[in-house]
Amino acid sequence: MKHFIGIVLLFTVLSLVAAQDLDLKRGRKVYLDSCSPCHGITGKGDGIVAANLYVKPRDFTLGQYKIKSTIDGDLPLHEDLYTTLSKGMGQRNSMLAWAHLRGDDREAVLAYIKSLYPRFATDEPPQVISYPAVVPPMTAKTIRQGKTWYEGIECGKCHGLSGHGDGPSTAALRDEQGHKITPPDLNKPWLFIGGSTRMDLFRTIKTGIAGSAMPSLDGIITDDQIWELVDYLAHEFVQPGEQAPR
Amino acid sequence: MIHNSHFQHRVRLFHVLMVFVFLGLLPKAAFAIPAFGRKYGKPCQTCHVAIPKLNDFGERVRVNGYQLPGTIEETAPWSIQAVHFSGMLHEMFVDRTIKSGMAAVPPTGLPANGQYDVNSFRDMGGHIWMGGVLGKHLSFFSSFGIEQELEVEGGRFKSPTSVHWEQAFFAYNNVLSSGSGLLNFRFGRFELELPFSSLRRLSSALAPYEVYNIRPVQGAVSLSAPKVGMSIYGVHSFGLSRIRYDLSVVNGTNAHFDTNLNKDLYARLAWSQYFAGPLKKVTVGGLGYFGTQNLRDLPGNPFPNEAMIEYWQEPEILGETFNVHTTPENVNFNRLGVDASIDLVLFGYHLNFFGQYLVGHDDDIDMTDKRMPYFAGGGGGDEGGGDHLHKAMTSASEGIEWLTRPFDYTGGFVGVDLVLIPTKLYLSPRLDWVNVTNQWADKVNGAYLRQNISYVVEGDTLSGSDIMPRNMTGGETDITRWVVQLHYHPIQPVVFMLEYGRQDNLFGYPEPPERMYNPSWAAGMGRVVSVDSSWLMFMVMFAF
Repeated sequence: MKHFIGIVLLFTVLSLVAAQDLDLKRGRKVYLDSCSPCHGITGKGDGIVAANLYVKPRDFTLGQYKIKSTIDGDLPLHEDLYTTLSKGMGQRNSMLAWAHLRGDDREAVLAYIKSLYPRFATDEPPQVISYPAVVPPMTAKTIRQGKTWYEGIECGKCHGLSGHGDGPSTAALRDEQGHKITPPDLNKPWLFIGGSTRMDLFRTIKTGIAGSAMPSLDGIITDDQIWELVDYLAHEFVQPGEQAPR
Repeated sequence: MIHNSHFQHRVRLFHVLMVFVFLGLLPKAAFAIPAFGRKYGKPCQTCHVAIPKLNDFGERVRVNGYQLPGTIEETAPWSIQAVHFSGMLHEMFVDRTIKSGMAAVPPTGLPANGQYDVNSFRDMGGHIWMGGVLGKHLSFFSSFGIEQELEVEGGRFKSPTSVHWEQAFFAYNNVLSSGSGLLNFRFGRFELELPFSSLRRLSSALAPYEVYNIRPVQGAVSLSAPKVGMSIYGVHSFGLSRIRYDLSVVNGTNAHFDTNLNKDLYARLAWSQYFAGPLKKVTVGGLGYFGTQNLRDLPGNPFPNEAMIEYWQEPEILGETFNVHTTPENVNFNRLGVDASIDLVLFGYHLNFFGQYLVGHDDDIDMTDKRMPYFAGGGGGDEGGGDHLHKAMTSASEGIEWLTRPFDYTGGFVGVDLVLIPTKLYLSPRLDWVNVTNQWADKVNGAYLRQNISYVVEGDTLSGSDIMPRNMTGGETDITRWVVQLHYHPIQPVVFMLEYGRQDNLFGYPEPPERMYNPSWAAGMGRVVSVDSSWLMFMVMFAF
């Protein structure tokens, strides 16, 4: 009986390993077909078209992901990657929405992408940022208070007082690889790489955008204060969810 | 009288050469399709190196039926709510100098010193494109152009408006549901899957890929012209290698319906290898085009129409019935080519080196009876030719002797596209060359044809060699052109293009006026003429 159980366990483990290999193999094929022109064959963000893109593709071997719902320093959730893959990253960034990629192909390619950065296999599960159970209502008071945060934290240095992304520091902004970057015009939410709903704005402000000049405000201001800042942005600049004029 | 005849003949030849020169300027512009940018919400450089040239990703999208590589959009055709379309307006300013080395007199009103200057705004017009996905496996594309062109006719300028439907096809994509474009069918009027698309090249209409354009006679097949037919094409990847194939069956000329019962066959096979590191991609490929065409019926070529034949067969004029080609005669031709492309990123700058070598052969482009009568000269360009137009004839006592003249050429181009400032500024130098043999002024089978013949001009029997003014051709065999362009994209919808080019010799095929049959042209073949050109061109394009 012990031998039988041992054989079953061994067979199960081998099957799982084989399935994982199969998944990675499929993921690599999808990656090479769909992702490698930008992100490169080895995932370093140096694909054949990358040099001519305004926003440079991610280097998957560095594990830096712009859109995530985890605390600073932690890797993104699988769901974060899946959402980014499915929704794309705004209209100035060349990261497309791969919603028409089959669901199992999306899972396979994410498994392959994660295999390019060893911490995905070794790290503890990432810690998700805290969200309020209920989205606080926007009021005149929260908007006024949010304006003081926008000015006090000096958001305008990059985003500009009018939100057009024309602050005094804009010219000097570089990403972690030294490429010139510019902050999005807050009046054009279709340019936001992390989405433009109030919840998206909350997440982006709290986590920052890794590898860019957008810092995480987690710990600098409280969650309530972040919501006030979100209210100010939504009132003054952003029409949440607004699409580009067609 | 003979002198005047030659004088008029040269004037006429120069007229038609000028027509050719301007025909060579016809805009064949293509552009990025903003409709796709709007559909996917992405900037142009996602799919383009510089507009309109596609990058590697854009090529994958195109071959996958305008869908993202690896995907199959499942929208049902009956649920399509919008057909994506977009357009482009363009205008060109050209400062061009054309120097004629021919012993020719220019048309009335033009400089007589053999130099011809063009300094004008031109090629104003626009395009409308429609294209996209119609359903799970269906895609389509259509390109419609309206342009004002400049021509010289009878020594006078004209600027007619041209309306043309460049491409219109639909495709059944991903037959095997691979999502990678493994197997696709295409039907309609489309550009062949040439190694380097003429419609998406970076150079202006002044500098097409010349080796794709060479045609032995007017109206004959040009590789770069969109063709009517169907094709099977696709791509398959093996890890870091990709194989691209295309097999097309097309009408050759399709200015009208093809003039023969045979269809032309085009095949292309290319292999690409991708690399990590500075060397990104190497592609090598080959193409073959195997066709049949009936030269006599090609539109615009000077083979006799019914009126001409009737004229020649008047016994009171010629004394007997001459045998001219009155039935379709098909001749075979082929084009074979090899190509290579290398993509590098050096110091952060993307470079694409590319080159094409092509060999062309036509079995026979001269379907004439050597005894066929011809006009020794002419003037005015009107029907009948006025006082200076004469009907000449060869010796009628000899038997029919069909002229057989094969036509061969080799040529190609090499170039590099360099990204100077990503998404903004691009530099593209290129060299084109073509070497033509067996053209009109050349020997055939070791001897000049129509030499030492007798002919009659207004009752006087003259003897001598061929009266065709060979000296006007200059006897050139080589065309070379180098051109360099700067593309500047200040903002996404606008492109400024600055181009400088020099071309030694042109490839021309003078066209006789209607109802004029002249063996010096009836050979009908193109020739390399001693007309050099240089230009500085500025073009602005606005896409919406």
